[in-house]
Amino acid sequence: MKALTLILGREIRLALRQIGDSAIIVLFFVLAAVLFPFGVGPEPNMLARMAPGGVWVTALLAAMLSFERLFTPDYEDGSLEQLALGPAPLEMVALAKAAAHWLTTGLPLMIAAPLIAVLYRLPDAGYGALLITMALGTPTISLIGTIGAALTLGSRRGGVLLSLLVIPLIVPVLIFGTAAIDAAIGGFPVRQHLMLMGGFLLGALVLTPLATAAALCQALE
Amino acid sequence: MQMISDFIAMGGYGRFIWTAYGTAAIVLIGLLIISLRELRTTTAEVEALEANSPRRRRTHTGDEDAAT
Amino acid sequence: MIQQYANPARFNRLAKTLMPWFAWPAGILIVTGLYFALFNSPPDYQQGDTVRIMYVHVPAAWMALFVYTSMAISSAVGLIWKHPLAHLSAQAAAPIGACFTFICLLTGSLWGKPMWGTWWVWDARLTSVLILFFLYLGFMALHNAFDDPARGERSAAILAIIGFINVPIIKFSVDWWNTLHQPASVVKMSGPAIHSSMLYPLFMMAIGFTLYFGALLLLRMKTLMLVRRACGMSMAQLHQQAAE
Repeated sequence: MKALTLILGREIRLALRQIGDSAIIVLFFVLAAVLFPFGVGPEPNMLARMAPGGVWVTALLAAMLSFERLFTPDYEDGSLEQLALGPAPLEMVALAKAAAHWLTTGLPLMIAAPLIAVLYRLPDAGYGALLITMALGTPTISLIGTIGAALTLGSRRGGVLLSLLVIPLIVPVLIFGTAAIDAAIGGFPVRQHLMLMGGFLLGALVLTPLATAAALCQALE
Repeated sequence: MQMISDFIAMGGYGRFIWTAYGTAAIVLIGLLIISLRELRTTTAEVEALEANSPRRRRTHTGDEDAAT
Repeated sequence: MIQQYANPARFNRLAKTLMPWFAWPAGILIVTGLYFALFNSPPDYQQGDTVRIMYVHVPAAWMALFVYTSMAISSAVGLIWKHPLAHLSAQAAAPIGACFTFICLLTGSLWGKPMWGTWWVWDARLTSVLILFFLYLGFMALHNAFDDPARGERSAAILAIIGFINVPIIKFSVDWWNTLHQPASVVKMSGPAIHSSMLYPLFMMAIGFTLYFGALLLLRMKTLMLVRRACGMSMAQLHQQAAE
């Protein structure tokens, strides 16, 4: 546990030093989201209809951009090897990395999401569900993204390849995230969607550190 | 004649059924042909490498010397 | 090292004996299966002649899952026991599985158009099979993405194991969610729900496809082994030239 907080502290300090990186991701999120009204036209009903999906899809794309730099700096300067040799198990390192990634990328995306939803004129009933699904979904995405980042560490064409691997795995988060918001807008119960998303998060919390650690382990071999 | 055209029409669904069977056949046979060609080219490559591998020839003569 | 050199020789001998046992029955079963499927099986009372697409679609779907499962298992074997042939077989299987998945999606689409009135619906079964297709492509891309082939095969192996989660989801997607796709009618606890005149050609095609996969897998593994050997030899020659 102490190791976790130590690594987490280090990660957050590193990320805060490069706060520009997070800002760029959020900026991309806003810009990509703004493209939709230009593409489909500013008609309010249309925008409100696609608001849940639009916000979620652009958030996912923005998150994709942030994974490539997750392990690469540590891998290149050798500190990843130091972390692997240290007392903390690699699973712990993976979990700390995911947590730091969420705090510096997932959380800002989550805060920016309602602003985008306002631009899309999301019906008022949808905001609560949007925030809850974002709160459950973005950590899952961070966790799954760390697997992709670890698998593609040191590869050619890392970024595109990473998206190719991670996007199929996070499709369920997108499906149930938007379904929950749609249900909330339509006045249907959202409980089951949120339960499923919570299940994904718990499952990812248990399984992804194992997979990421295995991937990191063979990357350092 | 009528029978053949009936058979090809497949109760009006001919174009769906024949496209399905046709593409499946093209994909499976195509994969087989590509795999066979890959095997042939790599076999040729390995044989070419073996033919001009000096180290291999030397060890061979060495073995024969030892035997005689 | 010895194991690595001993195995290919033994594998080649095994492949040589097994190959005719896979290749010939595969051809015979697929051809007779096709005869029954196209000429000698009744049209469905609801779906008419389109039901004939089933004889390609369903075996291809089974193969898509079967090949992925075999790929995940050999990946796990390769990671755990470091058996040199295991990664090779996963690498050889991936393109075959991708082809079967593609055939499954395409024939399904061609079946869906006349029956459901649409080429594609975004339901659980179709989506999860599409994801399976992307997993195959991701596996192959990851395999080739590294300068060090050993690194690529281990990374891809981990991906194959992670992606295995999708296989039970595909299998049970028709039971868990309401979908247009019809539920399983062959593999059921209460016995198959379709008539034997349809069942026989279906099984012929399925076994034929499996044997085709076996033969092609052996052939592709042999090729990959030769590629590896060619790599090693040209490296050795380069070293030799550098030393001289």
